[in-house]
Amino acid sequence: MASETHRRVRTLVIALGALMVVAALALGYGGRRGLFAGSAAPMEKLSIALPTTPHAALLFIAAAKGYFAQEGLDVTVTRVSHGKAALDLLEERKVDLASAAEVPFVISVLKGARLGIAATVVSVSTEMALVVRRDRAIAVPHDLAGKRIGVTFGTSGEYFLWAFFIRHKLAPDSVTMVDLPPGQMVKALTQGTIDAAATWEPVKSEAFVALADNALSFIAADAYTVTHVVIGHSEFLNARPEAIERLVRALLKAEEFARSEPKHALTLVADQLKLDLKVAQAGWKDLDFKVNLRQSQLVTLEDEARWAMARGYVAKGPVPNFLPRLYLPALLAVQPERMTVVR
Amino acid sequence: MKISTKGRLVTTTALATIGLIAAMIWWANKEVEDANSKRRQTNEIARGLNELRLVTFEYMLHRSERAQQQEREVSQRLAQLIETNPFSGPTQSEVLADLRERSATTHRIFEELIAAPAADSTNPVDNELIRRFEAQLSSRLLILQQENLADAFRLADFSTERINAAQQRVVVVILVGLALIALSTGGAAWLIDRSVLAPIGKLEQATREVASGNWNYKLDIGSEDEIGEMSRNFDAMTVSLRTSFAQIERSNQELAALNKEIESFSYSVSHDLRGPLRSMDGFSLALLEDYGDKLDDEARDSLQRIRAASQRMGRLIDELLGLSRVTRAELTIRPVNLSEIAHAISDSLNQQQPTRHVQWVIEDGIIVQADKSLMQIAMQNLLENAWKFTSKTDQPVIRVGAIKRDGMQECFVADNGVGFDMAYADRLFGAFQRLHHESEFPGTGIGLAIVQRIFRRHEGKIWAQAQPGLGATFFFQLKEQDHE
Repeated sequence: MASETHRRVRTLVIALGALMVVAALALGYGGRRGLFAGSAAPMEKLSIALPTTPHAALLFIAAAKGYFAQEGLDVTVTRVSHGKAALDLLEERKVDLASAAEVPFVISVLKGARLGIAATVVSVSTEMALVVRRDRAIAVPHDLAGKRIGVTFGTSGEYFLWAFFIRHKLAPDSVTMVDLPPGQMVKALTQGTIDAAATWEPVKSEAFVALADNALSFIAADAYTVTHVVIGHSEFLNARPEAIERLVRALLKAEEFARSEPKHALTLVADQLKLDLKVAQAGWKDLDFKVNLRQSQLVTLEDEARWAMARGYVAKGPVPNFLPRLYLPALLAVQPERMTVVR
Repeated sequence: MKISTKGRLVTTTALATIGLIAAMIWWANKEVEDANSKRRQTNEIARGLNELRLVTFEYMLHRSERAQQQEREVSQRLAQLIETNPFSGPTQSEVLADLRERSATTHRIFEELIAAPAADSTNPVDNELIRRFEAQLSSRLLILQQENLADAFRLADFSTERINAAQQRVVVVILVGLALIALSTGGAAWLIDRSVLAPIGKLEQATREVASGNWNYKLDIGSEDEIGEMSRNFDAMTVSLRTSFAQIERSNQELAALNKEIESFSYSVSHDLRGPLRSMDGFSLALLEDYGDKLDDEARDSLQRIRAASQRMGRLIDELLGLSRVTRAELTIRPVNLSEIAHAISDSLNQQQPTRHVQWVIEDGIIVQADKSLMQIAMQNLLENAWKFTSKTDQPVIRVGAIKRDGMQECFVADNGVGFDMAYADRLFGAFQRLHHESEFPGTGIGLAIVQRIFRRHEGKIWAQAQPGLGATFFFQLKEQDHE
């Protein structure tokens, strides 16, 4: 009788133990999905050309904070002065990926390059500006007529200038555009070889410092939102989907860091770009760091394509379909809600 | 720790876990309700944005007044909808802030579009500028409205995620709670097994050992709980029982020795004392027969007295031996018909003294479970007493019967003889105790002692009711035997 009772109690204990194991497995299930993600695979090598501007902040953060390594990427960064220069390296096949604004990307695509956008990393509406010399009798946009304006051709700076003129109903050919690389912009302004410069950070802040009280700026927030993207050859993107997914995960971590610790992120980026903290800080709050791919980008890309044809970068013709130029699988796999492109 | 304390601990843990689960479910339900409310608000915003996009496109296509008016109404309604921030999370608040800013910009650009001059100037350059300007505004409207809708859906997604998270939390809490309950139940089962069932198994083994006669078995459960206490009491009990049984064993041995002594004494009485008595009686008789004529009357009377005394002593010895035999006789219990025994004894007595006219009233069919030979002795003594003590009664009546009292059968032997004073009833059944002088009613005074011993051997009892001059009734009761 007693042994029978003992046997029943032991059976009960075993059954309860089994129940607890099942519960533990069920509890562990949710955690495991995240636990094993991207940790066991071998390291993948990637080379990226980055402009030494705050627009590439997320990529610099991901590199400095070790997010690339955490995601199993061995990333080699090549620094260049601006996005178009990074894109040039990509087109020369010297790097796997490049970060640049959409304008040089559109021009390259129009010229026949088979490129794709892996992800957007930052958007900004108020950063791009026309920095003008007050002593050249420029107080309002219409005073620009007949002036010499420095701009880096084939960049978002040139497109901004175009959008600025339309916004203020000015004829683009009413001014003289001078093609200048970003590094010479401040010097040209201070020396007076140009009356104004269409440029971005940190050149904008450097120009303000150089011109001091003589500086004035015009922006066109309602006219153009500059978007910086990570670009690669389509064949590369399609051949290395796992690497691009890891890149997107690392960028999302960097975005979260920039959001949760903005001061730390700014200091880190200023250090990476070897910028004075005050210069880096100017316009930092206007940068909208978001890793995504949006339907509205297609509208901007098509507008930029029409502009590029109007400006003569390529022969006039139908606006190309940019939908295949957006590489969607990585973001869809990692965070599909970040991808709003209509499919 | 006491078993009761452990039990309370396990019960408290289980109840606390159930309480926790209930609280978490209540909390999750509140979360879901709140998230649902926010999702409804977000859906309202998305609907407003969609309507705004519709009327904007209509205006771009047809430049109608109605579309302008509707755009203003929808913009106003939308502004009210997004004015307050129902979200607590920083990301949601950030998205809502972007939504507000873009909505304001969208409306401003729409107003600019309305205010833009028509492209009917004769200057083609101006026309081109206006066309580009309108195209730019249209693109911006398209972009901003798309972004706004995407953000509205993101807000809805946040609410959905919150609902999902709450539901997942409930699942996790229930699973954790179940695991805790399983753990506490398993713990309770283990505790019961270890603290109760295992010691009870040992206790059961110990009782079996003790029942089989192993009085030296020691339970020795060292725990400090109730069962440990019971184990110590059990061990103390076996020690006590061991001591008691040793004493009983010794008493039995002493009793056996005493019985042997009694046997020896009886032998001596029956053989050693009877010889001299027979010699005294025999030689007294020889003196009377051989020299009776030479002796005077006084001498012959003395010899007669010697003979009577020695014969009386012989009877006393016989009675004592009878008492001894009654005590030691083996019992053979079976149905005995007391009525038949009473009739046989009455017949014998009537024959012995035919001059006496005693009325015998003997109830038929009085059956008892007893040893027949001992019941014969008991009835002989009781009826002889009744016969003797009615010897001086004018119309003697002796009755033998049985009555039922409290479900038990009581038999009786009653007479209307001299009776006795109940004040001396306690001496009635003592050996050699007499309530009447021997010269009045002859006897040894040992008969009722034998009767009482017979009923004691049967685990029964005997008692009497009497009144001087009115007779006496002896009741006796025998233990009811199980009928198998």
